[in-house]
Amino acid sequence: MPPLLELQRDKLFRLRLILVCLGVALFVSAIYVVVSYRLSSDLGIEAETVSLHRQTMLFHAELVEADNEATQRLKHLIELTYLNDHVRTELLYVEVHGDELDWSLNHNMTFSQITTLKEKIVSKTQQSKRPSMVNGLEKLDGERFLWQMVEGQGYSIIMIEAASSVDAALSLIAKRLSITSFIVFWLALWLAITLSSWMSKRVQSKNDALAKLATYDSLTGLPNRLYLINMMQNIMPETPAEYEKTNETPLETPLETPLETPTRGCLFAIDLDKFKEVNDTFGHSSGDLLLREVSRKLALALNPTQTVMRIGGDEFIIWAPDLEIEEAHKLAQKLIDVCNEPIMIHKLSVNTGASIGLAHYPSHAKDAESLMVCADIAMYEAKQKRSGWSIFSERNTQLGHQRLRLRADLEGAISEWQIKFHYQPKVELNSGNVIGVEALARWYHPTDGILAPVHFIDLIEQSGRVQEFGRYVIQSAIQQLALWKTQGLSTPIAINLSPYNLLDPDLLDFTLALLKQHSIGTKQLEIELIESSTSINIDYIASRLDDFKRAGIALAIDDFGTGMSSLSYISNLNVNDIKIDRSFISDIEKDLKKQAIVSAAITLATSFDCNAIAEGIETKTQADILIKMGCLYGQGYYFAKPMRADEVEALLLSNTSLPLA
Amino acid sequence: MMKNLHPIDRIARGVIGIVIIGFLLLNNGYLQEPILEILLAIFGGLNLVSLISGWCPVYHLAGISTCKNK
Repeated sequence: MPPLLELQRDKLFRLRLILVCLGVALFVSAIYVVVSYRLSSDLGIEAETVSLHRQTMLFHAELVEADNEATQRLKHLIELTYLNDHVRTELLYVEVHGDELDWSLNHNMTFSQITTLKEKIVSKTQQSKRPSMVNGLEKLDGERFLWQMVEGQGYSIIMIEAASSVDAALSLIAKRLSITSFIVFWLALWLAITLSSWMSKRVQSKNDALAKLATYDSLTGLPNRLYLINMMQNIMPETPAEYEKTNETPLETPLETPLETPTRGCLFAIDLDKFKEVNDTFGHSSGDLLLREVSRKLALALNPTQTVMRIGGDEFIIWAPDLEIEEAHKLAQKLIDVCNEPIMIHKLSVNTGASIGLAHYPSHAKDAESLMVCADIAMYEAKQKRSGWSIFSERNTQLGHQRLRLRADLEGAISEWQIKFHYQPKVELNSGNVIGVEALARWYHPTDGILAPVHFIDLIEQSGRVQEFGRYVIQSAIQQLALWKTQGLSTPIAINLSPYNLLDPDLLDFTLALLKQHSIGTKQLEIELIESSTSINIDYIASRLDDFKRAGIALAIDDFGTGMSSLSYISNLNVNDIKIDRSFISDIEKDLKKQAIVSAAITLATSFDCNAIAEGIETKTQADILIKMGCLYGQGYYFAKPMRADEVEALLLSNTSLPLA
Repeated sequence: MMKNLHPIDRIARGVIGIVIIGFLLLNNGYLQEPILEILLAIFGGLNLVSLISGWCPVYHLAGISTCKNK
């Protein structure tokens, strides 16, 4: 897991900092030791030179002033100053020359040392500007020798002495500077440790903040998809490696994920049913409020081991470790109840409702991605059945896999024109004459055969291709109209559009340009507005539809009577046709209530000055009843099933009335 | 005060502290440098504090602990 990498990186950083600090300390100590050593030995030699000079001057003066026994006196003095017990010179040589006097004193120096040094002294004296008083420092056999020569008044004296100050300096340095260096090292180490930990703490806190930012949803404060993936990788060893690669940022999961991985658990996929409606009706800030409120309630409904994550707009995932399917049923019901509790938005009580899909690990899937797909499939089933929650079962694996495959194939469906149209004639009930056709989409899938809209329309809506598909439908219809025009047919085609299509601001221009390009009148294209369960602001739709109508395109309300806002549609939208939903036509011959509804719809249509068209007419009896009620138009299997373009073309060309005998 | 030293760390510090304080007391003017003596006394003293309390002020400041992996 990433956090481990993070720690390792920190340790390396600390080690490096410590090494750098120690290196600097070592370097500084070395400079100090060298400079101090040189300084103190220079000072010492300087002092010794001065002292030797003075001593030699003194001995010279003694020689000049002493009459007899000069050598005796000199020897006494030398022993007193140099060879006493307190300050004892290790190596010493004194040589005196004068009138009838040649005396020397050697203390521990070898003959070769003396001759070599004397040669050097002679050569230095000859080079000197003041040959009467010369001194110097010579290195010989690893020893430093100081020498002084004084000459005058008939006497010359040479003194050679081993310098002791260098050794003294070395011993002092060994004592003090080494201990100082030790303390410096220690301070450097402390500094490095403190600095490194301070810095790594800062880096860590930044990392944590980033990780939190990356793994938590800012709106609800819940963990997000990345967190889910991280967590699932921890829990499920069989999550494929390539899946792991999708998480490129090393992140630390602040959750105390139990290291002893729970081998069982349930994953809940939750999708709010009416989130889009709230967003569209009350605005995004209200949608946000709703999400926050639902998140809070979901979190409260769980126990501490269970985690709720928001992974998309209104989608949540709950991971409940160590939960068996039987208990999961109870939790799912509890979650449904929680989501059904009304939430106050703008002083209105809003009831969002949710669909929950539930999958069990490891019995349903062995890796994270499959488990999420299973839960998604179950959730989708629950949504379809409006059953609240649903548990994944092998039975709907097939369905789920098909949906996944179809979702992937959608791109090809549109780009390769795999979605074609079948046409169902609309007829005048009295005469059976075809007044137009309704275009119904069919996906000619390369492997799955011909698929009805129920299999793919919601996939298109989910994939955000609604507007693209709207243009696709319009383009197909106009191309068909153009083709028919060449054959002398002028039957109008009605296409189905959802309110979402009207959010495409250039749709009208697109449509008109195509119609103009093929020289087709606007009257030949009709738009049937599907009443989607998510109603966008009706005023906006009304103004967009008015634009279409002004352009001459006929409008119809599809499936009238089933949606919630049909009546507001009909009062707000200035439509040409109202298509009465098939559910009111089936059994109309027996069901008096349905008859009443259809009758009311027809009256409504008449008073709004538009045509009522009955959908789903299956028998002659139904057609007759509708005629009696005053309904002029209809469509249904009784007259004709939806058919391929070439079939409907043949029908139209034959100009026969329906139903065919 | 929270302990932040592992027993081995604590013992090592104790040994260093005792050796240094012992050296200071018994060196017989070997160092001849009061500043160094004071620094060594502080250093040795801190190590003895660590030995007695199992707590290191520098670790405390740095937020480190060698005391048993949490």
